Amino acid sequence: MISAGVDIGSTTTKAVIVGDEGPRAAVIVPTGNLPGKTAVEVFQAALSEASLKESDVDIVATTGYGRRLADFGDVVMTQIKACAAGALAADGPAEAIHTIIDVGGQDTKVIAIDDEGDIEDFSMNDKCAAGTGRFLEVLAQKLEMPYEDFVQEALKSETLLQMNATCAVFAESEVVGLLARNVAKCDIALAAHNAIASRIASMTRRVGSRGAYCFVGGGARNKALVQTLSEHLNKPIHVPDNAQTIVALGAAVGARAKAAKALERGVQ
Amino acid sequence: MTDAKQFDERYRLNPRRSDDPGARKRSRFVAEQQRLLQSDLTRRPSNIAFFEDLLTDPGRPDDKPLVGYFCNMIPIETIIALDARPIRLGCGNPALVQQGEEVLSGEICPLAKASFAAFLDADNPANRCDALILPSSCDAKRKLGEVLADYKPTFMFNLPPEQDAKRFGAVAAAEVERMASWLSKRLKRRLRRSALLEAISHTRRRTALIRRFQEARSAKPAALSVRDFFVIIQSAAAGGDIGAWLAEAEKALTEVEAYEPTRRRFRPRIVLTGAPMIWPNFKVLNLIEEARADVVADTLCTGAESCFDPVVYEEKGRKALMRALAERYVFASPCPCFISQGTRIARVLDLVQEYRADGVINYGLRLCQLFDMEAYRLSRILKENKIPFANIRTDYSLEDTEQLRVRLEAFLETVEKD
Amino acid sequence: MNDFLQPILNLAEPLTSALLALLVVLAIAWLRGRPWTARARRGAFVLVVALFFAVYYLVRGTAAGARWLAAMNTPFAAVFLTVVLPAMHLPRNKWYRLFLVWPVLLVAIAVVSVVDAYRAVPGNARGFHWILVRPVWLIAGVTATLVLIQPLLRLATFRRVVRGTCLVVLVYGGFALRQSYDDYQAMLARRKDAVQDMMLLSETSPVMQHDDRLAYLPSAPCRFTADGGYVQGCNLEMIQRLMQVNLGAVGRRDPSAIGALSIILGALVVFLVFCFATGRAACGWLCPLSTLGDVLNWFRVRLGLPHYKPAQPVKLAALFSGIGLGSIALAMAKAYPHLDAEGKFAGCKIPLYPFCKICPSQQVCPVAAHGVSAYAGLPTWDWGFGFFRAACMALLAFFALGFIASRRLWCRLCPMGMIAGLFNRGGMFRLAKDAGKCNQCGVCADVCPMDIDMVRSEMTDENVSSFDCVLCLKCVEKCPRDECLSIEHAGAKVAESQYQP
Repeated sequence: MISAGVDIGSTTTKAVIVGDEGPRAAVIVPTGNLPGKTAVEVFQAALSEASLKESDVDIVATTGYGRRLADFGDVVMTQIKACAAGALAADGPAEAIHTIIDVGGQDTKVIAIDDEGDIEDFSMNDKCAAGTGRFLEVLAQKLEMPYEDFVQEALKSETLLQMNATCAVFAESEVVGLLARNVAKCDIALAAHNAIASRIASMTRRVGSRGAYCFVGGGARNKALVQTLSEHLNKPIHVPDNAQTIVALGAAVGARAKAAKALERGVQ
Repeated sequence: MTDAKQFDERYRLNPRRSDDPGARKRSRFVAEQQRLLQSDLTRRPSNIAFFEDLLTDPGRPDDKPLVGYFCNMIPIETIIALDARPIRLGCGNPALVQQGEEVLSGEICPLAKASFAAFLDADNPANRCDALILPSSCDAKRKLGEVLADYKPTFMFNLPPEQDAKRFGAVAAAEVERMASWLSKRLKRRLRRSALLEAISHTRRRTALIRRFQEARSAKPAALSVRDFFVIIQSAAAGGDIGAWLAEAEKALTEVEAYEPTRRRFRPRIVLTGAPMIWPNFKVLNLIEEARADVVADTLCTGAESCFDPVVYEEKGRKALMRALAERYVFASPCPCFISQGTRIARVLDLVQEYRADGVINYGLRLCQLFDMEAYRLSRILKENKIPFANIRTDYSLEDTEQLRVRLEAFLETVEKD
Repeated sequence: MNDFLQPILNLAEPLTSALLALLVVLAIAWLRGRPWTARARRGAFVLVVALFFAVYYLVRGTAAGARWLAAMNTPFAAVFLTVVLPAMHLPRNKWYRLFLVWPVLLVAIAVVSVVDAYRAVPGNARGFHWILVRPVWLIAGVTATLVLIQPLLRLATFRRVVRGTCLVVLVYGGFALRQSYDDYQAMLARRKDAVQDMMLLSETSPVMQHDDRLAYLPSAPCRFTADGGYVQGCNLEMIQRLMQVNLGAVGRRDPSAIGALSIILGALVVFLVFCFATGRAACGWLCPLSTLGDVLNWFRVRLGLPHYKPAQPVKLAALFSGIGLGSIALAMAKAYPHLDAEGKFAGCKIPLYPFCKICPSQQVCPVAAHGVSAYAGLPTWDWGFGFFRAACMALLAFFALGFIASRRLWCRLCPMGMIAGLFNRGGMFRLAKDAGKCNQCGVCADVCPMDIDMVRSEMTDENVSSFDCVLCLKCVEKCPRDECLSIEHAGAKVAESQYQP
């Protein structure tokens, strides 16, 4: 059976195609202004990467904020369910995963998984962007650095500086103040990472997490964030290879399970 | 009984009014949007427009005085018996929240902000009231009384901190008597026992109807949407003629009870608990039903629980009736403003069991400490009882609708058993 | 008709035994707790009853055994076992209708018995007062009728019907209840010679077949009510008689003394069995004194006046007064065998029935039955150095004021109720509460005539029975939450709270 998952996010849209042996294709594109159209494009791109035709795919699932905008999907799934399914399906550490942290462009989710792999509890910060990837992007811009350099600078720093502002917009003014006092850019970069790592760690503890941590989403590619978060949680964090497309992978995996169950019951 | 003199006359202010025509337009728009959204529902009682019109504007069908009240703890039978019309003034319009914030602080209960803002507009039905009665339920209501006293003659109905009928029963009954006296003097009418008994029979009929609605709905959720159910319930307190409401509700109930479902209902069954959801603030109800789940029971003071308890009396003396009213309105009240979480938790657990619910959704109104603080213990106890629970904390504004939708859908995904 | 029924009655004699009633109620309570199948439970029950019947006929074979058993037999036991208990415990399915044939039959037999006895009265002596009905058929017929109409009525109406019926039967019914017209004439003749206020032991007891069978209702169908009927005589009279038994004579094996003692003890055992089986329900449903009191209360209700809620010290004072006065009276009764020729003990003039002399029932019931002309007056000052007159006036005032200004304040003092009240917790009746359905609105505490708060406030223990509760079921009737409060008899739910639109 071949299934596909399309994650229509606010910043990027991802598509993953999964066959019986595992993932066959994964594509990421920026969402742009027309999420529905982008979804179709990314799906086609994934198909061509896997050398498949649309008719080869048995079931398609859509997820993400724009999940209802793409009407070619068979199943609509929330990002929570997809994220959990994807993290569990991806290569994991030796110890079973019990907490999944997903730092995306404009939201952050923490999902607690029980021993059977079902979602026990979850938390989303969806009222404001503090604690999301956007916070770091805004500050990188303020420091007039490309994002990758911003991350490298943070890894270099040895000084622990406290940043007060939690709001991304107010933090900009705070950065201006720090620069005026000749604080090194790498220290500011690390402080920014610590600020959001602290918020994410709080969220994680509120959900009552335990066990091995898995970090996914766009934010997982940020090595500095992984490091600071690991310090705040006082535990190692596993980042799977395909961290950014894990939600789309999860959607595809979830869709497979649904199709298999339906076939079992004899429904076409 | 002397006049209440609860507010200091020395510091009476000129009531502030608003000159913002946009606010009225915005609030009307929100209400119309909600009405439009509900008009798409598949199965509605044929006379639902009657109830919706009452909510939009009850009008002024006669020259009976209008008495505005808040919450669920004011014995409205006294108002009806004094030949006045009771109108429940809690406001659920997000546009008015914004307007209220222009005058009052932004860090207070949205219900207080919106209800206050209603008085800023001279054309709002709230300003037709001849008197206001507020219970000292939560901090917001207590202070709202002081603010509103500048606009209309206001009476604060004092509540005991615990719902202990043995220790506070006499005091609560005396408070009902005090309220009746104040209102009687203000409206220049006498409260007659026969009128009180008749008013009680009206509210008992209302309770009977709501209970039948509840039974029919939980057995066949497709028969009546929870949003229409709330419209019917809340329109009873909207200041219209109670006789007309009873007649129309009876008609609607006949239709609901007559409906026979054609196939099995596979949607998750939810018990809703938490803060008041006042029309048109049906955001969370919209989301729940759009996510294809059914609210089969609720403990909301603006939902089924508002009319669930009848006034029970045995003796018909004035003191006995005052006591009966106090028992129903003060001691049977489901509000967390009392130190009484045990009864609320018991009610939620009982409803989950009785109506075979798959999960509980707690609606927490942002900036309401009462429900917010209770959510912690409620979540732990429901977890102990292995009942799926979701805490949705939000305010009136519609900006977080999509985020809440994800949260609700994810919760319903965990509740579903494939 | 008696010839037709006699063999059946002989066979069914064990059913009239209070011992069987006790055995059955205990067996039901025990079997319900067993985790057996319904069939096994039914089998065990039948076995126990069959064993009892066998032992009964064996014991009856002996002379002493027959006498002893006879003393304890009472038609109340038969009515309880065959009508009341099944009505409470049988499930209300189609077979229940089959059971209802039995009460209908009893009512028919009662009617036939009345007609029969009436026909036997000489033509010129017929009149309203001499409707003759044998007490057993009266009791059976009335109980059967009440059982038949119970499902048709709401609790409030049913309560009024039962209390009204008991008032009529127990206060007015006495003079109608005679074995036969000759028996009635004989009683009148006896009374002419009798000591003032004194009735023979055998006159104050319902008779089914033998002359020395006694039964006492755990309430106050006061024997001072009318010309001596078979449903009269309260258990306090029995206790006083017990005090009066000459233990010396018993020790000397005096047959009449032994006979009296056995009869009295038998009656008291019956009383205790019924207390265990029904708790204080007789106070709430049977007691004609409380019904008369409630008539007084009705005036207050009609005027719309609030009732006086007694504070805790007042309640305790009533309780201890009742115990105290009762104890004093019984102690005085103990002095009866030692009274001198003037009826004095250590100079103190003591009446035959000291408690009856101060009891309001003796003042009230005759007037209720026969009008003011039947009023015997207050005890004179010479009795007990004035104690009797003072106490009688005080109790009468307390009775009247208690019912007029409050609801059932008198019942907190009544010693008969106290004995029954001991069986409220641990007896077969149980007032149960599902605290998960309760929102503590306080309606139950508000309507309670005994001002009990426990039903409202108890949220952990399912059993909310209490010593003071008269099982009137007003709380169950008024509670607006379905299945919150219920009354159970040995585990079977008899009634439960239900919202009444």
